[in-house]
Amino acid sequence: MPNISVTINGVTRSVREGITILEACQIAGVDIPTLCYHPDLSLAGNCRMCLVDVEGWRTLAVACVTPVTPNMKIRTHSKKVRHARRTVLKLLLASHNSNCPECERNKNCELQELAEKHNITINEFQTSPKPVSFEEASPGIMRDNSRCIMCTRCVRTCEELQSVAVIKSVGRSHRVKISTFLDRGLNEVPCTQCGQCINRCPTGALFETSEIRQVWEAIEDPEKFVVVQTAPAVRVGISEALGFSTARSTGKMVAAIRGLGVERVLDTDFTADLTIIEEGYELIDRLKRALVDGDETAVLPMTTSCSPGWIKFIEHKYPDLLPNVSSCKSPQQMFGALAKTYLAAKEGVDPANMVCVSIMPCTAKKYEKERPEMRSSGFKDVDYVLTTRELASMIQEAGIDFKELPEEKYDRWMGESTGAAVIFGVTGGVMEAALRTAYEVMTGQEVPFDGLNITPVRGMEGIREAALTFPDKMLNGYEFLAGKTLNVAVAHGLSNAERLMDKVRAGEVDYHFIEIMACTGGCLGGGGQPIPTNPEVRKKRAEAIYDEDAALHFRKSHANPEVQLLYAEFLKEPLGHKSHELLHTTYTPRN
Amino acid sequence: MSRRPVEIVASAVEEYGSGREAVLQILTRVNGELGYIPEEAMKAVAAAVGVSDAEVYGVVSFYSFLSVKPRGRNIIRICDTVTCGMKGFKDVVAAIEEELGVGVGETTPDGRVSLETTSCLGLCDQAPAMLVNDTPYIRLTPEEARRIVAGLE
Repeated sequence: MPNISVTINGVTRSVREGITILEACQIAGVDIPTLCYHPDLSLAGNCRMCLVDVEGWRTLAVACVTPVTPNMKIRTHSKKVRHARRTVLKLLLASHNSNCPECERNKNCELQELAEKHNITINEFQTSPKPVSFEEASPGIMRDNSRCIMCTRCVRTCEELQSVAVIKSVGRSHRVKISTFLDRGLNEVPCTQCGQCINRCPTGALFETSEIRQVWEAIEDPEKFVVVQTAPAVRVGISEALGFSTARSTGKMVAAIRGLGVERVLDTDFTADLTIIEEGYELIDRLKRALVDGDETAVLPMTTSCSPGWIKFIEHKYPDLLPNVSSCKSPQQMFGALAKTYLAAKEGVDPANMVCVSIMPCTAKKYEKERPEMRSSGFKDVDYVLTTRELASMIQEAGIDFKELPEEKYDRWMGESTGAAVIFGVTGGVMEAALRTAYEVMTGQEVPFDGLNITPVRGMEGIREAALTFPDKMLNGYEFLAGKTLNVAVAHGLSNAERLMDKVRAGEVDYHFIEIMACTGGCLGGGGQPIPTNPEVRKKRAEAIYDEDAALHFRKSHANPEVQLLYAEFLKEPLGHKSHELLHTTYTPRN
Repeated sequence: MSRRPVEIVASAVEEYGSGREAVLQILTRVNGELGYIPEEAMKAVAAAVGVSDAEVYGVVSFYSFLSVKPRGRNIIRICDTVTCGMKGFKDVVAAIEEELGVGVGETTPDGRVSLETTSCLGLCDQAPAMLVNDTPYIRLTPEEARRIVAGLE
């Protein structure tokens, strides 16, 4: 596309033809207020916040959906524009439940921010807020339509990014609302509980089902031994949730959680490393059975199973492909099962009194912990799940000065992490971690990539492929793979997962191993992460995760000394009897 | 004997195709034959067209002539917009309610008639007006309305 000349607020500049007025203004550094616009989504143009004046036009232009034309003269804050935007805001506020102090998104709400920026102090429109309507039926996600401004960002998220499409505009005119099939609860429709809708809601109409109260109660109960685990992506998100810029803050996060008064601060990374061992051996076992023994029950490609949103998605959409999914539980659930068995014994604590709390970048983890099969310790393996945002809220409530905290270390037995575990938080990370270990287990050599960085599986492309050829000389027992090439694929965002699994189902691809994460960018872009989450933010969080990996002493899961101890003292061997009992699971076809 | 909802959907798909543009025609066919669109029909349409159940429900909920609940064999839609309102809508609707023994938004227990209000029917010059099934009735008086309603099978 050639460049054209446009004038924005009197300044003429050259921009690419075909871009929108909004994009031209962004390039020019001119701020245009938006609500229904989100860089991850298609254009809707329904909120009318981004109106601008175009010379010669009878009406105002909707900047987010109007392409620039040659010599277009745009004014972004003329009297007409300011008046129109104020009217749009007042009309939105007139039907909006503006009880801001009682809202999860208070001080982090796009509508509130715009109302403040546009100095809306008096609203002459008669206010008739929609009635408060909490829907709290689902374990991960709550809705309150009285805060909804009908921007449809959630609807587009569910359909475009996730191919789930369980929420839609229902009804007509002033009765229109965002709802589900026959207005059912999110727990009664094929919602994956991924929470991506929450991350894109400009207001507080969508938010996580909170368990903050239960966690405080457990902390205050002297009988209870509260064990906290923190997921890989939380350490690069927590600073954002507390109002700072994106940063690696593992040590401060550990100190802050300890400061809340819990008994032990441990790391989901420990069980991420364990997942790599179990899943790696499962893959090797499937490869051997499929390629050498001709065993038809050894289904390939094997897919990962860490992402509970992905698991619920495949249970609904591809029940016929469930045998492809690794039987490994997610790191969160492996942690819970081991906390109430192995750790309880190590600490001399009665597992009945242990309360296992997860800090997750995820709302689907709240659903996962409620699954009936997640009780292999004899108790509910994981009791409560807090999102990164909820943890930030507790840290603030406790008056902890995060920035000034010293860096502290995780407690022992289940607190050791490797770089391989940290990268679980970014798309491609599980694949990279698995290859670092599987290759070395079978060849005795490190993966042939500079600094262990398997760059072909990194990046933000929706679907990525890589191939890894084994050397001619393999270790004992793995000769069957000598000279063979392992084909792998990585997908993030459930729409990409769908595209990939359609090909798998049709037999069009020849992969051995597939990593799938429900959320765009992987867990670092999870539904429990700080808001906003957008391409720029995801990039920063990914950089922080790779920095953390590079900075850690151990970079390979099988090198984790606490995981080695766990096998020596408790599990004995990968895929062994104890592993099957505690660390592996089954799935349920759902319609 | 009436056909099963999924059979109606299947035959409508044969006729109108399975593109998204066919959704409304398929739904209209089901609604016409059964008087409403049951859950299984919406799901069948979604599966045939390749959209989500929620999307089909969104379409159904948008149109007041489509219903997700069973309605009476006859449907009265009486206009409650300004002109009809000024020309005696209130008295007419009261007479119909009395004649039927049910209120607006309800169906007679025998399934004979459902009573609904509607926005403007475009018959303002001949107000008050109502639509009984597909037939418009105009310049209604309470007595005339009673007579029409009583004659419904």
